[in-house]
Amino acid sequence: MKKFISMLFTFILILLVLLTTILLISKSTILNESYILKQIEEEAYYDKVAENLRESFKSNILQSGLEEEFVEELIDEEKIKNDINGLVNSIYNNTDYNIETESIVEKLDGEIERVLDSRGSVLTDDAQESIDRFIKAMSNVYVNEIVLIEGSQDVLKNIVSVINEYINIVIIILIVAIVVFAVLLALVNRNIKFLGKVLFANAFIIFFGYIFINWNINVNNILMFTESFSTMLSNIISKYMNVYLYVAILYFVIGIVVSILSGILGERKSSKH
Amino acid sequence: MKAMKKSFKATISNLIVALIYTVVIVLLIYVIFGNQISVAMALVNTISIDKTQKVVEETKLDLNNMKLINYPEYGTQYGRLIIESVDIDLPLYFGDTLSILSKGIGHSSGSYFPGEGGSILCAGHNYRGYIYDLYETKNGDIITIETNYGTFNYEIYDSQIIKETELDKVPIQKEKEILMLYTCYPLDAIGHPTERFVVYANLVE
Repeated sequence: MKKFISMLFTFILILLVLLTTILLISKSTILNESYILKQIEEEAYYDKVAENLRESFKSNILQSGLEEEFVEELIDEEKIKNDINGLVNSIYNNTDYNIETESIVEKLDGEIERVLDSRGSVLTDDAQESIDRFIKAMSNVYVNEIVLIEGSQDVLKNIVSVINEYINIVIIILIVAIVVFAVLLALVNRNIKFLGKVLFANAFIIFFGYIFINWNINVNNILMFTESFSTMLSNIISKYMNVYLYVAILYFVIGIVVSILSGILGERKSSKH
Repeated sequence: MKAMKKSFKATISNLIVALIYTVVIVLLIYVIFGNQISVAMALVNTISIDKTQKVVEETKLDLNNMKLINYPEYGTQYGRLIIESVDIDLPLYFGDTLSILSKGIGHSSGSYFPGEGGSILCAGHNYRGYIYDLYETKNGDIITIETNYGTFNYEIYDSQIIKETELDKVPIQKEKEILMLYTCYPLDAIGHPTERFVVYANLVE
């Protein structure tokens, strides 16, 4: 009976540690706004978005009658950075963020007015409509390049906000449960050998999961929205996965230490008897 | 020495027991979440692309069936479009998105390829360095399309200004090989022009 209880509690403890590990790693990485912003900065994502915008603006400008060089006037790297950060912030804090395109519209209006004045052209209704369509398309290009897919931030916002609302309380409950089961196991077994088993099992499961995911999915091949976004996403996932690998190694090493310690303590106990 | 031996034994037994627990838990996860895991994997794989360099088969023309063998990949350059009379010589791409058009001439994916005997619809920007001078062409001028599977000469026989919505003015048919090359109109328009200047050319060689 004692052996069965010990096995059952060890089994439960392994699951509790595993779940806590997953939640703690996720909380400090992908569910952490500062971590994501740091990754965006490290990946030079702002520059890549600016480059994509340059290309997209150029594609539209070439058919607009404006000079290709005017694209540079529309690229405001500070605004791009603020908009991306604002969007990330809105996802993690469940707030609204509106991407303003007024400055782009103003610049385009100014340039179009300048070109029309220099030509002495008079605007017809058709010409005005064509200008309005062009300005709207340029604004959409900017918003789409930042947001990637309209409404995607709302979906993310809902998921992240629900997870973040409960994750802390779940982690606390799990840690309390881990302590309770560890104490119970220590009392039942009268040694700390079970800790080694728990840590080794977690190391093996995490390592198996790491191998399994890498075997079945090539993270580097993920293509979502744009190439620059995909590269950043792949790198964030790779780093996230690597954290698990480091934790598995850490659990394994601590498992060895605990096993050796439990062996020494067990020997001392038996020599006392 | 005895303590060391016991520690070693404890470590090995812990490792073996941990392995048994791992197998049980992995099997349990597989039984409970196996389907969900498979679906998730499949979902991730649908948004993954194979980035290994593909061997691109050479495009060839099957003259008997008037059909290409190994079509070029969308977005890639497969030839050049030349109009000597107005000094136009640009790369020709398969596809006509704005991003493709910023690189050269775009060949609409809904139309036929040179040599296939049908309508070929191509577009270019009316910007300097592109086909700004298309308006200068006259009937009788030759448009040449050079591809790796052959060179095709088309003689301009007509040109007209159409509304962007008048798709019946650029019909796609398979009876006769006609090249339709268009650009935005008017030349000095600001904004998104709603008209197109189209030249029509027959295959002559």
